[in-house]
Amino acid sequence: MLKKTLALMLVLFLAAFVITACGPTDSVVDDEESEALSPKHGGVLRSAYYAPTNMDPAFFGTVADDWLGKQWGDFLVYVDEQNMPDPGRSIAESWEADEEAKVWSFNLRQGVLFHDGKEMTSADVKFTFDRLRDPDVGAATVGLYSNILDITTPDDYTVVFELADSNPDFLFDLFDYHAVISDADNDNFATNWNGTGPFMIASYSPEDRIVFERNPNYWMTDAEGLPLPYLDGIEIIFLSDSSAQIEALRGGQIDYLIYLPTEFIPMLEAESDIVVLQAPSNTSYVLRMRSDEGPASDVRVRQALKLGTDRSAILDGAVDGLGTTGRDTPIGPAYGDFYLDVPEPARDVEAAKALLAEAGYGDGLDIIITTQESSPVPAIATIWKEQMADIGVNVEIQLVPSDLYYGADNMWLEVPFGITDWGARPSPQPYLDLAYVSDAQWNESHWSDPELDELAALAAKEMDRNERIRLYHEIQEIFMERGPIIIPFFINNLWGASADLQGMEPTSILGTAMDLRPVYFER
Amino acid sequence: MTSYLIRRIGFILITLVLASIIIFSVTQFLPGDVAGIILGQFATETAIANLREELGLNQPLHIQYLSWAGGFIQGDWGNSLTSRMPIRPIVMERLGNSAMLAGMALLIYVPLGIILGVIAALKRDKLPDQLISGVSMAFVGLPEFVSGLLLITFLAIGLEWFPANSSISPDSTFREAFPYLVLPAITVSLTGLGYIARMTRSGTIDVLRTDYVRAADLKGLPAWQVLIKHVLRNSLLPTVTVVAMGIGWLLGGLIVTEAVYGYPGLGRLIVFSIQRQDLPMIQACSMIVVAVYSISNLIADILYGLLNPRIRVGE
Repeated sequence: MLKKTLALMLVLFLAAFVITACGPTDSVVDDEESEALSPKHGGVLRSAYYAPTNMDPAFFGTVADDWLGKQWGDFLVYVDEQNMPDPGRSIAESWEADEEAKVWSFNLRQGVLFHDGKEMTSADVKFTFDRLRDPDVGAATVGLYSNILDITTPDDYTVVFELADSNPDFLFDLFDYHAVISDADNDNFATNWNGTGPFMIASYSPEDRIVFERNPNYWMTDAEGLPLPYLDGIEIIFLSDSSAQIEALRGGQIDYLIYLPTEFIPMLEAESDIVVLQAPSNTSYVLRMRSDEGPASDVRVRQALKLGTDRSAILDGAVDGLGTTGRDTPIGPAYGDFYLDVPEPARDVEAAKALLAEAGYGDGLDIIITTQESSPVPAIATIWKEQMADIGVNVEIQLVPSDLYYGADNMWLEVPFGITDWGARPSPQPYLDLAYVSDAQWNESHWSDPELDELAALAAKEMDRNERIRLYHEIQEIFMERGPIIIPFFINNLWGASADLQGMEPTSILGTAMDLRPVYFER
Repeated sequence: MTSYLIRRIGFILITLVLASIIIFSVTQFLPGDVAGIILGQFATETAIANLREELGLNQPLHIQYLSWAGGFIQGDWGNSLTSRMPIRPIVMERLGNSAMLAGMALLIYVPLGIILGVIAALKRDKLPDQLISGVSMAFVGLPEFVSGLLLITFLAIGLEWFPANSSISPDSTFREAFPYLVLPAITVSLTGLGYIARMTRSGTIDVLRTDYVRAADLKGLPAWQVLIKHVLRNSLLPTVTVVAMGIGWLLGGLIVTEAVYGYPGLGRLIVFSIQRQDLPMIQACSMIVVAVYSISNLIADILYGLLNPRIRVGE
């Protein structure tokens, strides 16, 4: 009896299985009833990335949070692909500052609508920045905007920022990724994403995917006066594994990827239906030495280690040459004329040995370098270790997970030698203020150089671009001569896209900053 | 039988309570402060202190446990720390997805494993046996991220038979999800197949040696009847346990496979929530996995009893 029942069940089960499996699959029916606005309009961009951690702009913490925010939000000032403010893509149509760069006033675009239909006015802009600088809200931007004394709104389309200190870089601060223009009437920023951006969040399935649809009321138009964005929507699947992201792109299941890991580039470039886009960025892996204690407190040791470093070899070995070699200063070639364009320092093993001997390390020097486990940092450390062996420095590599390196004990600020990754910023000043002046919050190399402090303070307030160029060049000379860091290379920003995706302009800021408004599918 | 069932279910409840205490305590010792995690590493102290108060994190631990456990029983599993959305619908949706993948994998590897195991037993120590045992054990040892990527490279990108990525939409039915399930199910099956084949082989070999099988043979029954009526019924007993235990593994342990294919199942949800230290989500997922393991264990025991009268529990 039992046997028969089991057999019957098995047959029924298999039959049901075969029927369901072989039946026609109900593919999603495209109900494209609405007439396309132009051949460029239409299509859904599919992408994949790590899941976001916080969707409230004030508490954006990861690249994913930033990237999503740029789709549903707009910025008071948009910074373009060459690190210049672009009023044509900003919520502010125009702006002006007084001579001291202390009072900044912005004329807002009229008729900009939030996704719920409310018109955006100066009150929303004021609210956005008041929230971001309010210590009780406690956003990560409190420090960045502590220089703001007051924000006033003379009328619905004018906002005036009054600063305590001159800040020629204020426009860049307004493009900070947290500064998504928010609705002043929003009562829950964690779950209500009412922005003015080109795309609206249609559905968000945590840890799985997010679906954006085109904002039909978006204010921006293309050169022919047709409404942007071109795309009907964006669908982002959350994949926490970079090889899974790459396979999805190769398999044609997604059209677009940001922040491609360098190790996959040769494989992707071999595919005919995928294009790899790149732009030089100011993202770097800073090999920093503590200059207040230990061997590197002696400037001769720092110079010797720099002389013993072969930057091109590290660039080629660690990231397949996908970048530009550094000059051991945080100001890279992506900053145009701020960058002091000198030839790559030549490696000189004998000179390095002589300097070490002079410093009392003629018999050799043992150092430990703390290395994050995230690619390409271990590769950089390994190649550098071999190069150091040639000058008689024995490097021991201590591998730690990234979250420990940047963890509660702030290992990155304490270890004698370490490799820290610094993301690209739209202007050079933040690097100096955050990490290299004596009282900098993240002075990881514990460097204190009165001359640098003075020059950095001058540069921070200089409105005249030529004078600023001069100051930054002088600062770079100090770094090359006696600075506490080795920057082997600046890595390129890398994107992957299917070959039929057009209208992308690679940017040197962040991988997330690729403007998707003018992107379209070629049919 | 009824009293046995009641007793077993009682044990499961005790297991769940103990597990909930362990899970709750362990998650308390994870590094990092929940409020700090929600607001990010650069938030101010004031903001973190306010949120701690709001979340009730300043209350004594046992009060926090009771309110969490009480809410859990009543179906209020709390909100995710990262997405701020209610946890229960998310977990149940992923559990459903995992069940689809598990069902598909079981349908592939159980029948196949049994057939291969029987063949290996019948051709014991001959070429087919050596081939089956060798190859299936090699697959057991092959990590899923290797077999998964190999399958993607050949079947998805090379031959384009199946999609390379299995991130199905949240409301997919089994029929819609089917093409996306094939590769992950094969990947999982490669691991599971070896165990089933091995179990079946050794069980079958043992039974083939028994007197009653020889008697059935000698009385002139056709070989296939001997096999099905006398051999399999007895030799499959250990296999049943392996299959039932495998359900727990399939529903919560497919962490690597789900990550490789981006399949939105429970395993991937667990990875995500651990990466983000989303404590309430980790707790809810862990409880579900414990429950599934307990229940599949119970089912294994009941099935074993049904198939083997000798250990059937008396009234």
